[in-house]
Amino acid sequence: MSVDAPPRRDERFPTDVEYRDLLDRRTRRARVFQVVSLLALTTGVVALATLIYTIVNDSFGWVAVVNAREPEEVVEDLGFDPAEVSLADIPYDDLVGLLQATVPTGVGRRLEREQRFYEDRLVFEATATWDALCASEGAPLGCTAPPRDHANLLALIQERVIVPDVIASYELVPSLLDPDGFTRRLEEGFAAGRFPDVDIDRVRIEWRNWFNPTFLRTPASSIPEIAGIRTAVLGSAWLVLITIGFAVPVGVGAAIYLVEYAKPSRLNSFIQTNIYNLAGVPSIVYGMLGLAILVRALEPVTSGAIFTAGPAPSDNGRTILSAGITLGLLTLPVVIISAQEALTAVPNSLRNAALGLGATRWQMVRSHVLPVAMPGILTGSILAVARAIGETAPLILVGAASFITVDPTGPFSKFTALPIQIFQWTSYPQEEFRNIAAAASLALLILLLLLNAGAVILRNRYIRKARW
Amino acid sequence: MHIEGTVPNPFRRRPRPGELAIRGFLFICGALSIATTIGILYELGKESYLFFADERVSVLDFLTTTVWQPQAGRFGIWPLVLGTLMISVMAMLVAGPLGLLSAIYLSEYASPRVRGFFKPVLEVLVGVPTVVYGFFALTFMTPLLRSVFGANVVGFFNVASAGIVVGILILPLISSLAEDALSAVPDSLRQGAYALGASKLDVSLRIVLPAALSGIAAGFVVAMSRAVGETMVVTLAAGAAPRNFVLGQDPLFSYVLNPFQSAQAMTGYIAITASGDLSYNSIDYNSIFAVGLALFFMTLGLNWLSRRFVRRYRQEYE
Amino acid sequence: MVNPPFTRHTTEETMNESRTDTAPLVSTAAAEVVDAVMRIEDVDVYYGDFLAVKDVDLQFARHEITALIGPSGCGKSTVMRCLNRMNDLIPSARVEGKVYFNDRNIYDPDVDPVEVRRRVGMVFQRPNPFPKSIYENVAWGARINGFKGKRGEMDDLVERALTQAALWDEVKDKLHESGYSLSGGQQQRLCIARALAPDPEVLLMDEPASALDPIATLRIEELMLTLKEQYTIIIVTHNMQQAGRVSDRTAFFSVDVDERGQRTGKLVEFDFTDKLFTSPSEKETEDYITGRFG
Repeated sequence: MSVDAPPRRDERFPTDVEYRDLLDRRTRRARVFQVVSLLALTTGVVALATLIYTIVNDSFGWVAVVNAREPEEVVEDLGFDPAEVSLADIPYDDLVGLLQATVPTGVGRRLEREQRFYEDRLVFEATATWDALCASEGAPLGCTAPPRDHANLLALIQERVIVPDVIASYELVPSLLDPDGFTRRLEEGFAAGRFPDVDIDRVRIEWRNWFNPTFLRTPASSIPEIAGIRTAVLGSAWLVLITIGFAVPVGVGAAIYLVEYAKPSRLNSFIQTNIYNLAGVPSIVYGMLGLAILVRALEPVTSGAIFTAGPAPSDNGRTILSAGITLGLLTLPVVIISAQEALTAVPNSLRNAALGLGATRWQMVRSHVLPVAMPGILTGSILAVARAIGETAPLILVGAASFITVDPTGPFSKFTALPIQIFQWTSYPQEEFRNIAAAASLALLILLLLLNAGAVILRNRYIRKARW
Repeated sequence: MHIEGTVPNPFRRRPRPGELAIRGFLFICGALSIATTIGILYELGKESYLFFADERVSVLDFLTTTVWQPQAGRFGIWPLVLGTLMISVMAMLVAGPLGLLSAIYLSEYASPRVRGFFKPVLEVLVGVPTVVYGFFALTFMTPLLRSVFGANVVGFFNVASAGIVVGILILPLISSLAEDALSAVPDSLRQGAYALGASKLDVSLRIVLPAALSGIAAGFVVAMSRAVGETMVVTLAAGAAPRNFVLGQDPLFSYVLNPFQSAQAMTGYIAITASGDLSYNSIDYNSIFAVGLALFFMTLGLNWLSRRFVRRYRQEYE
Repeated sequence: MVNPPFTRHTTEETMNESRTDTAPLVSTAAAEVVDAVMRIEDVDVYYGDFLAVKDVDLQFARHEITALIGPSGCGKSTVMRCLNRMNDLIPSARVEGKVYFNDRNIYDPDVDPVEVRRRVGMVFQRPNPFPKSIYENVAWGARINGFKGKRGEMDDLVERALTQAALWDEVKDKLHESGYSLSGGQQQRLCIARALAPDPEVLLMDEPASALDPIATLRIEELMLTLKEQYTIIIVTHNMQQAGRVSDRTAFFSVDVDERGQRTGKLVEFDFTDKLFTSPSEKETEDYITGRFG
């Protein structure tokens, strides 16, 4: 500033020159801080990018496969031209015949008991034996489950006839940048004796999209090369239905009660505090609640026993119903809190206008408050449910089946879910399981992305409609 | 009934059964939450009681001894608590500073366009399922740590990998709660500070940050509670071996607090035990409820603490 | 550094030099500002494309109280914020023209606004003490401006500032209590003490008493009259009587509405307060003062 200024009255303050030094130092420090805090912010972005990179990297790439029987051989043996027809095009009956020819009868009977091949006739089992089996206690799943379909059978053929074995896989980015590196690695591996029992001439190197449309349609399998997430996705779908069906009506109802009806009282404020506490309880504790009450204590209800006169649909309480209600209880506090926020955002003038005209409280809520609050309520519910889809811990507790290939058929089915599948596959040490775990994770992330996007779109459309 | 010639009271309260039914239904919805809490407390309490009633177990041993080996009948909870705390503290050390700095940048420095970019990214981080984080810990973080520190130093299952990834998981939570607290500081305070000749750094760190402190503290505690309750990352990456120790005997930093070895957390124990064969009347079944009860009280305490902070924070602008 | 000689301008000369269009002249007849600590020369303020206030020329006499009055939206607060570059904090704000502090243009590219605010302090409409103790509220401004004194000297400075703000006797026994424990009027005086602690030359006060009750208002006004011996005070007020009671000179602003309905502030008249209120030169001024509009 101007040196011409009148002398400062207080000498304990710095002179102009000293002040300017001070200012420069402060400015330098400020710039450093700004850079550091921006870097901190970018670590979040970097972490997310790394996560997605890891998943995508493991979901695609070169693999070295050894098949027990090549698919083209099998097609030719069945009398078709492998140049025109692929294994997936072979008719159902031919595939059943192939299975019969390949698989020992004992194994075939076991497969049939898991799930029949035909509605009306048996392939491996004698009719008398089968009927007796189904009438007895502890009848196998195949007695009540619907018969296998084409996709199911194809998976079986892969598993039992083709028996593909991925002996090594290569990640996406190295596959694209350094494809020869894979061949080199394999050759080194063979030379070092890492692949005993494998005939190097039968090794095929092919590009593998672990994440592909078939992956979504194929049921689970103990062989990672052919496993798919269909069973898991259907399980998750059923769970979501039950969770929504339970948590949204009850949650929104509770929110309406707390915002529109409840007078300030000790009971009501206790309910409110309770809800905040419940929102902070770890999800695994909800799982324990589900296990103890829904699976164990309420077994007659959750296994469906009290709804049918004959044998119960499930022999224990570890059903979709138990899991769905458990997830519903988990989501409930979050739905309530977000619905409360949406409702309190509605201006009081709206309520007073309706009441002033002589409307009852419910009439006022239903025709004036709810429509305005609906976008917020909907968004909050969808987001809460999206969170529930990704929950794993409660499902472990409530008994998602560790290995199941049969599609769930109703609320009393045994089930698995997408996050559970990912959890299992991640915990197996073999490399190929890592690939399908990554592919399943990718599927889950895409599903969640669609849900969240849907929530935003829905909210925007509703906001447009609500504007008169 | 009314007497001939008089006018019936037009304002008499008519009973409306429909209204009553609706109100009753809505009340039940609200009360269901209480039933949930009662259910949790009852079941956790009941099974824990059965657990402690078993002759092999004593409450004193549970709370004071430092070896958790169910097969050998040793049920001291401290190894599991140690595992949980090591992971949670590590997660807070990662997420705390990063989250706070991010929040300060977003609240005080960022232009609307920059915020419009970073906030959705943080939202996505929140939405990633924890099992996917577990996958990430196992397939990326552990190999990374092993290549940086050496494969003989860092075990395949280790606390550090889980701790760092849980930190990434709670980072957006701290960042958004802290940012809310900072934004809630009235702009008039900033204006007053600028008018005195303060620079942006002075205003952010010496006026806004102290003013938002209890809100930020509340956010930290909520994040810690989340880290304590986290199951999947911990189960997949930190291993299933409880860090049994003997105080005074075992070396503190190379064994007891070593972050590069495996250590089972409370949540991990519950998950692993429950996914195995579990019969309803075994001591293993009861034990997971006892551990669950301890976990429940831990998170309850943390959540209560965070609400105390929020109440103090609300008073500060009066 | 060579100092430009201390020049004196009469208001009329300034007007003649800067008049470039045929807009009505600002009447400044006898208001000769002899010793102007701050001057505003041909200033327009834009918020984005919107012209908030135009063609302002003003001089602020040292050790006097100058009041800026006018109806709402006339830009008086905007103009005042130009004096300590607080408009810089609004991203879309743009100031064109020159603002001089002791003959140095504070809008020069090499002037750091932080430096300006060290010399030109501000008190706001609503009291905004920091969530700190009373002592810390006052000391903070001095500290960040590099106060070199030791602990005891800081105590002296705090006492000095609080005394100048006529608050010392009321708070001397509770200096370490929170600033929020004071009443509204006391908080505002605390804010005044806070603004005085860094020893500025000019004190800007933006409607300092509008949030206070009449008794507190009176105390603030008395305070202003004592403070002007040491400082130069510029206040914005929508209370004409206050302007009349307290100020030496007054600038009256009004609003021009153009064809599109855009409202732009302008300076109408600037003169000694008694002259402006008893025999204003402009009709607009007279209308406002007699209550015919605004």
